[in-house]
Amino acid sequence: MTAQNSAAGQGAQAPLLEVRDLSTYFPVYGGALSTVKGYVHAVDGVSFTVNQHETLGLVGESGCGKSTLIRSILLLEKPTKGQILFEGQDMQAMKAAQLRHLRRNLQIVFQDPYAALDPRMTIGQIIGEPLRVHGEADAAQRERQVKELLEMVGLQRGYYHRYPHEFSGGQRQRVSIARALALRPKLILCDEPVSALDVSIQSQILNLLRSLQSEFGLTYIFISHALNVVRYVSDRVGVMYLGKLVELAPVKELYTTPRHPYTRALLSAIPIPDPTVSRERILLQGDLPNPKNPPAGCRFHTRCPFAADECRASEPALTEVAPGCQVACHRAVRGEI
Amino acid sequence: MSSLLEVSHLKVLFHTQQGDVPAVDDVSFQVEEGETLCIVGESGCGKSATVQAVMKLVPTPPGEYAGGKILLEGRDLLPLSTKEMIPIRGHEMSMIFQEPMTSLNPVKTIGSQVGEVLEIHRRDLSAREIRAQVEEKLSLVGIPDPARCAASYPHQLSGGMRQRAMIAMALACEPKILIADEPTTALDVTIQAQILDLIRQLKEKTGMTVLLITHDLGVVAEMAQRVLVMYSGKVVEQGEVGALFRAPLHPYTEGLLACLPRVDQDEEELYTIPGQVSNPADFPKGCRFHPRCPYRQQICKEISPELREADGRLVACHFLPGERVRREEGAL
Repeated sequence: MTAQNSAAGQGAQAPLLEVRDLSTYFPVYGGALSTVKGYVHAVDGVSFTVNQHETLGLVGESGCGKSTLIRSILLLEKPTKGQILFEGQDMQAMKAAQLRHLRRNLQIVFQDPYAALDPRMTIGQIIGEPLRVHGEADAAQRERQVKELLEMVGLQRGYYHRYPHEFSGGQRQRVSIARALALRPKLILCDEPVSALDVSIQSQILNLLRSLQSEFGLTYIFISHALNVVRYVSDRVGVMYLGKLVELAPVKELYTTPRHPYTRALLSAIPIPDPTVSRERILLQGDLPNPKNPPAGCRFHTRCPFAADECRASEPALTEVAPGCQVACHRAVRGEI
Repeated sequence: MSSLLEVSHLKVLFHTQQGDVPAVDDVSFQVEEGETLCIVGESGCGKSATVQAVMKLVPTPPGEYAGGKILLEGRDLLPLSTKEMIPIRGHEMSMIFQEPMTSLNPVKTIGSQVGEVLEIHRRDLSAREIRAQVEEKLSLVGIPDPARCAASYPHQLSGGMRQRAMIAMALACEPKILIADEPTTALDVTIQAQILDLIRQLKEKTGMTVLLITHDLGVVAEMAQRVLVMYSGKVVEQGEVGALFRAPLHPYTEGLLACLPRVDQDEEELYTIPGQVSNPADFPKGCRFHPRCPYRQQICKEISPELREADGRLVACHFLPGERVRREEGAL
């Protein structure tokens, strides 16, 4: 998980995952006949690539579309338009059987470890389920593999016959991770995996994810609203606002020289656990606009301290301004702000 | 000089099927006029139960006030009846909660909910005066169109606006102490920054005293003058914010600070506090942190450490940083 290996990955290998102009809209029904009155543009024209063995962090506030984005990548939501290429193959063009086969390589860890595990299944059944569904192993082999997985995520083999209610949040998240690992996937999508955990448990899970990555050469897409967590785990970071990717840069660049005004405001809003650090704080005015009716032009212009006329008139495209650094802001691209 | 609020040896039990849970165990602290005191700790450490006890909001049963004193300007609140608490709650002390949507009544307008506080505590005001005061409070908390907000229902407002309305309600009678229980946990970071800024501004304007409960050490660093760190129902460290962050005395405080990834720094490898918080129905003997402590000795397993003074702070640990020996792997 270093910046070097992601840079090297960009040159030599094809990306593991490529998302091209992906949009997912949800219809809004209204009126007496429940007709479609409009669409929520949850994800709107997002493009990025994920290289082998790297971690791409995606940050943004609630409602920015980050969860919908990863659900769309897994085709758990049907994208309205755009392409998702996994190892160069278009996932939406695949037949059901092909897709099922591909899904072994794509796994997800959810935010809420209480909701993600079936309370009526034992830990052994939960972790063994992907193996069973994909016909990987017979019952005896499965039990052996599951026990190995338990050990890998720092749990005791003896937990095999226990039920989720016997475990704490951190332990349940370890079970979720073991389940995601069962089929030895190439890509794991982590949807706020530590947001529901206490800080002392959070660091245990983050370190586990990092050590599993180096052990198995995993690739992660890591979603979080906690910018400090994303900094710790990511090689590259994308910032989302109202369904759009507004900035994408290597982790160091993004945190030391944020270019988009939203990224700057977001970074300055995070309280730093050190009373001696004093920073200039950029306070954003107002709330997130309604995604059903996003502002014209740049979606951030209603809260942007630098907004000019052009920002209200035309929407900025994500533009490369330095190697690996992309930003969607008229004025930042020209270096005015 | 006596403190505005003084809590001494407070003990709150919850009777559960697994036995009695000492959610708050011998907790003492003072809040001085005009300061911000933060209580920090992880879920289940008793921080919310402590402030609920201060407001006398712990449901009995299953809860029980098992001892101690809560002195507000020298007057003990613990023996007071529910009726006697009415002129105190909302008037002398008020509280805001984590999730504004569940704390507000969904079928009443914001205006009538903020006004209700005034109706109860300020019988001298006419309906028109109350309306004027409500709008004044709403604009005080930075709501752009107070008249429209007063006529709105909670679901029509955003999370940040709802929390502002909650604060307006809490401030309606100009209480001596504002107790804020995780006021920004349910909010996005940019909105959190707005609300924290608002609390700071209100403090400057009105000189109010704030007791802030949070699990976020970043919020503590930005808001507090003094900090109380709790673990498993006990206070483990208490002191001035700068000193506590610079040189934490308790191993738990030290671990908590070290295991937090920083947004302003690169981290090689995060420290982890091993294990997990003990089940409150079955706390370990001795120091409650000892199963997770890297410095534990035999004495820690047997005797629960008392709070003692060190370096101008209070700490509940048998060993000060200079006296510690890191436990060898496998020893004990």
